[in-house]
Amino acid sequence: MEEVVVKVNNLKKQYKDVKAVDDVSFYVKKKEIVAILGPNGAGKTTTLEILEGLRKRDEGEIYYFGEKADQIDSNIKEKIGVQLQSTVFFQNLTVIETLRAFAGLYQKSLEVEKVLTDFNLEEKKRSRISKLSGGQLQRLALATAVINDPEILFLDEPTTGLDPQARRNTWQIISNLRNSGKTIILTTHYMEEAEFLADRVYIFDQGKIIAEGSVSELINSLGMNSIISFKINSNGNFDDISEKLFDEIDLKVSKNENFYRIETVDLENALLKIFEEARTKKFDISDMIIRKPNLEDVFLKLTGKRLRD
Amino acid sequence: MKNRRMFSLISIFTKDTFRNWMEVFFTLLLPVLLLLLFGTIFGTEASSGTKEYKIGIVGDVDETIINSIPYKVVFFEDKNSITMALNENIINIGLLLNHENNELTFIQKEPDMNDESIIFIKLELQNILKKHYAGIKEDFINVEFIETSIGENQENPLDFIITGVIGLSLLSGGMFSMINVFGRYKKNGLIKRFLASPIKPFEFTLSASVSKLFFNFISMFIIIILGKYLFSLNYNFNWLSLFCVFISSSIGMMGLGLLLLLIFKDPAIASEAATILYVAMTFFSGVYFPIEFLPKAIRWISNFLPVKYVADLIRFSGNIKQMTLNNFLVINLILFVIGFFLIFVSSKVFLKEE
Repeated sequence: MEEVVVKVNNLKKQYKDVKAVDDVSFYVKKKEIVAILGPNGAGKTTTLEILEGLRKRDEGEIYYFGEKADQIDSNIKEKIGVQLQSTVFFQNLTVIETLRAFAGLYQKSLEVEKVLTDFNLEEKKRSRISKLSGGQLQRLALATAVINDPEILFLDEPTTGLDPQARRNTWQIISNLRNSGKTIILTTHYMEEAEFLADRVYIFDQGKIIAEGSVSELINSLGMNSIISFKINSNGNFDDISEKLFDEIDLKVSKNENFYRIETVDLENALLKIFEEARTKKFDISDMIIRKPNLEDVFLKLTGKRLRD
Repeated sequence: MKNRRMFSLISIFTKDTFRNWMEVFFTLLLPVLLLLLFGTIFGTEASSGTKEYKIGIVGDVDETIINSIPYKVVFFEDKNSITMALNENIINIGLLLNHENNELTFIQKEPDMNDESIIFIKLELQNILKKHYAGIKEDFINVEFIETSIGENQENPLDFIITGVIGLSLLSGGMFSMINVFGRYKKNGLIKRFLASPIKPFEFTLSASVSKLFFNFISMFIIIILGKYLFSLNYNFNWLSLFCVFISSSIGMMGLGLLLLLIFKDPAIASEAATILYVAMTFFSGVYFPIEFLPKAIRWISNFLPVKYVADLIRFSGNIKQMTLNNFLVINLILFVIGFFLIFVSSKVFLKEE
């Protein structure tokens, strides 16, 4: 069995009347990427910051490398790398000065020049922090997180606010880190990110873990193969077209205004039936999308709401 | 290892501070500008203390009278010529002696009516003339021309003010830097990032304090050197006691900044409160002018403003103000202990797990 490097039992944290983390238990094995997925306010960041020693837990146990950690002391901090949700650096320092400074905070550190190259920051090493773009800042935040060659990396929403290209680049960097043997725990509210990166996913909602497993396990748990979504045009008279339109053809249907979403395990038959209905009842179908189910669908099924609602 | 961590932190705090134009301006440039401003104003005024006054006289005067006048005497033909000399600033005051009518008339420019020096010269001349013409041998009126004392034992106004400028520089450097470090850095998440590393809260606090002390030291050093060489200031510092004052005052002022932050929580509000306090200290703590110049009713305010004590300590170190050694040590100790206590409390409050 692979070594469990982080184990959390019955973790609780409350702010006044709000249960930010409500009896959460999970584990992370060595060299895997675990994603904590959930909407804003689900308790992801609080959980991560408790593990990083930035917040106090109210209750619960934390184990690092098999040993109970009552305090997240400097010995543990030497072995973990942290990227905060919004990392701020000294604006007047250069990239290389910042990295050197962080390297100086740890007993063990990687060669600064190599890290600059690995994170594609070499050209910017003499630039002031204030002159960096969002993507460059995010890469620097990642670089400072790995400068101590940590065994475990905590990445809190590493791609939030980045453009699609920068996000892809960051994913590639995180993949490379996994390939180099790092254990990574990341939070995200992007299901694509969890799907692309994570070996296992914990889905958080309102401070609790509502589902866990690999991406494929979670999706398979839905019991559906395909999702068809489309728009119906009925000369503007949408009230006539109810959610029960497709009842007789035994499909799982949900409706939002004139958009339909149909889940099925038998794609071909479902499409046939939809178009037959359209011909019989004389309405037009447009904007049809056929896709495989994803983590968003898992979250929707479990909570009845979307991840980014 | 601790040394390496602290060296790293001190290094980045120092670099960031030196590259922050606002901080450089308020800690280094503003005191220098104040020094140049007050140096120019009071440097000129101080030299005017040795000005040689010239008295213009019309009429016959005994040589004994001339010899007893401690100013340069210039003789004129008539009133018109003495008036012209006054207008051309050849003389400072004119004197018409009319022996026929036993009349004595002073002629002076109207703007000089309230000039203290001219008033004293008039009194002095009257005294000399009365002594001579009344035949009194013993002085019955004594007028001594002494320099107006604006401090307690200061040598000149410039020395007095520059030591105050150093005090204010230590105040602004200490107070604003701590609001910046523990307020702004905490609010924007910079402190959090460091706390995720193995750095301990006291190492963070100590590093921040040391780098700010270094900055303050440079500021003080520049003021002293420029004051010495540009304006030939008279102070002669006891460097050991000045160093003690520097350490205790800087730490005390840092404590003051942290106290504001503890009270107001929000760094923006604490910063504004610090600015108001700075202005209040400028006017009410006897930095730019002696407390004795303030109306009696508000003099008590200065007792609650630490810059008053800092400026006094610096003046003592520069042999400008008399103070007992006990007082000097006690004030230093109070500033240091209170400042150190507040820094300690702040590192517990601002750098703890949330």
